[in-house]
Amino acid sequence: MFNSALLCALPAGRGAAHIPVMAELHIIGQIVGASGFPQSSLFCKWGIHTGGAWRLLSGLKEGQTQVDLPQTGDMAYWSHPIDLHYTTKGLQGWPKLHLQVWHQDAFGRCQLYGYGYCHVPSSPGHHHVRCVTWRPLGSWQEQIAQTFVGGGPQLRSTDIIYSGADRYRLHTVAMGTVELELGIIMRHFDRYGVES
Amino acid sequence: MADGWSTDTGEAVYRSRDAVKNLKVKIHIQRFTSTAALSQHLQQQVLTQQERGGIELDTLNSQAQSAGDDEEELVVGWQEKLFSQYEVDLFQSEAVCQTPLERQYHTEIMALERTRGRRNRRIFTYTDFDRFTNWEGDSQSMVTQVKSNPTFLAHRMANVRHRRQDRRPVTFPKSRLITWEPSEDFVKTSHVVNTPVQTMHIMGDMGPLGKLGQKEKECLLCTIRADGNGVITIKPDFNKGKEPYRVETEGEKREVWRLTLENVSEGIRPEEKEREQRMYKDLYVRHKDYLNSLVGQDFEMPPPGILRLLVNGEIGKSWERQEYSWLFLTSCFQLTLPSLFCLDWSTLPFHSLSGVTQTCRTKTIGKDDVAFFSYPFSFEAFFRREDETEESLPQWPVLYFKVLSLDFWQRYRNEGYGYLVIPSTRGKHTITCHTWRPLQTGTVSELRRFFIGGSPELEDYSYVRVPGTFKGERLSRFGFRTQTTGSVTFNLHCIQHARAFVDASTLKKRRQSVLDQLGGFSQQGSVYNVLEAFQRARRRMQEARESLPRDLINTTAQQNSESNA
Repeated sequence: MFNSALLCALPAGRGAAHIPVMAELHIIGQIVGASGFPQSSLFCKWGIHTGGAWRLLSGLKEGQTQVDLPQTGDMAYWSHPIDLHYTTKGLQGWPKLHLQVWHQDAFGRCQLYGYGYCHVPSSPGHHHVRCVTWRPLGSWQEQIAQTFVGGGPQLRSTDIIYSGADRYRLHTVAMGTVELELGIIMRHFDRYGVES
Repeated sequence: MADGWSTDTGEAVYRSRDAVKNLKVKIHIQRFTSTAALSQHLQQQVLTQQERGGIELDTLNSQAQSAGDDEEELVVGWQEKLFSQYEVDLFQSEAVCQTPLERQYHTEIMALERTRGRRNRRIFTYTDFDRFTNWEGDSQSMVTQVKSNPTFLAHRMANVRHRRQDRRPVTFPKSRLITWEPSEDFVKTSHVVNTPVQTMHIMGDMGPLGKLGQKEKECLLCTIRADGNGVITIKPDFNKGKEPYRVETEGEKREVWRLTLENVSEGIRPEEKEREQRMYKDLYVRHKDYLNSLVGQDFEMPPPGILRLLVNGEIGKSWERQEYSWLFLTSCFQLTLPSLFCLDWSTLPFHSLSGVTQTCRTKTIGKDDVAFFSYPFSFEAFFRREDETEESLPQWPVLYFKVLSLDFWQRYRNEGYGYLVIPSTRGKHTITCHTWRPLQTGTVSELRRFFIGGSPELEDYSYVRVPGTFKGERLSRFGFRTQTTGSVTFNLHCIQHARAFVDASTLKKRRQSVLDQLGGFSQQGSVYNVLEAFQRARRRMQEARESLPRDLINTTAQQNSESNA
């Protein structure tokens, strides 16, 4: 109106020719909620793991949602925002999102309900991702104690959630599903011949 | 004239990042009488006739029109207080003034009287501080109703509307996210939209000549609202060359006035605009440099003529119709690459082509028992087209997997085999593969499976799809007995990466299939080398040109233009 300043796009002529542009990835979405767990008062700890060639430009790459106790239905809704901006110089180490679902009971005790992970989608657009979770299982004495007191075995190091190396040592049980909606925007990947 | 009016008096919304105090509006009102319309019409006719060289007549003088009172034009700035005759009369005496605002008006009016007087006659303004602005929303109702009270929400909104614009931005406290005992003020501000808005009304005093200053004859001409985010709302919109608006007065003698609004704010000077644009360009260049410095400038590319396939995947879940209860499922998988694919072991030592998941106890969903593995795997494979003339489609990697079960007594059984061909299209794929397990004739094997565990297994995984030793044309599995067991779900994200895609996009060719692009890679390799050399030389030339001082380039340009002219 008063000749308001317009954000001028960088002219695609000389300015862009001699500065190579980096490939950038935007992950914008939310952790919608979880369902299928034995109890419903749940919260989720999440994080993103990438390879060495990736650099986080903005956004928080880990976080914890609030505790949600649904009044009706089985699904606990968090609507936790995920907004990340990565830049990379290689395709290896594509980001992986790992989750831990915990249960908080009426007494304030927290108990692990599941580990899960999913790859961040590599094609641009809107993706609805369902991430299944599992929980380590102890011996039958521990299981009986778990039904009364809670608790249960947890992983010593959470790397196993998103790597498959030593998984065969684990004894687990299937738990519920976490739903996420992720929007992926990829920039300058096509300049390097990446089709996705 | 009925067709000379603009009837679209809706409000218009503008956005601007500049300060709203630079806004200037030129407002022009003119009384519209029938004689004025007629004389105007005649004048236009005569003018056109004069152009055609027709009768020369002396037109009616337009002196009668602009009697000086029927027309006024004024430039009004943002929140500029212009007094009406009524206000001047009211605030003359100091006894009337009660609030500090009214006292301030009194001093201003006295000062104006001493100097040259007001520069406006009919047009005046109500700024954000006046009472009119506050209660005009309350008193006027939007529907035709004899008696209407403002709704609860309207009441609340009116109270919070006129806040100052310099509110602090909302910061989220780290602790105490919930206010357990909200105050009255807090409730008012949280339950309604409270974007601070400043309002200004431009009014016109439409009374007859000589009898200005009657409050009933005031008429709202224009409303301007500006909020702290740079959104400016003006109702009605600027005329922008369209016909003027029509203002009708109430009362026994209804008059029609013509209203024209124009935006006369000063624009930004060209030097400043250029400076601003240069600053933005600088900022972007610096941001790019910063990004480059973070990760480095090279993007790792596969060698020319090679397609790189990168697959990130996970084994999600498996469904089974369980025959025995209390089963755990585990699965192991193996990736087989056909001959044209090869792996580059030197760069990817940590990518394994086979794996075993954890053992997962199933849970029951509906009629099926489900086990969740959520097992990640990813691999990279390179594809090189050896023979250009070969027409057959290349084979893509195949993933073979096997599901096993382990029960409470540690009995180990084979639950099924399956395979998955990695999709040749890029993107996200969710694939469910069904599994089967081999059966042996007779009851002995089933009894053994039930009591001690152990079941027939395949020696060679590739038998699941096409055996590696198969050479004929027709595959026959006659005599092989199996039983359907369940299914396994995979989520795969496939990325394809090749230099050929870069060339295609820069040359703006329409992309054929991947294979056609890669075909002829030797020829393309040489073409590619030439292109690379050219790009390098061009880049060097551009860099050299950039480093030259600017006036040197300008003088050369001038010389060129002079020589051309």
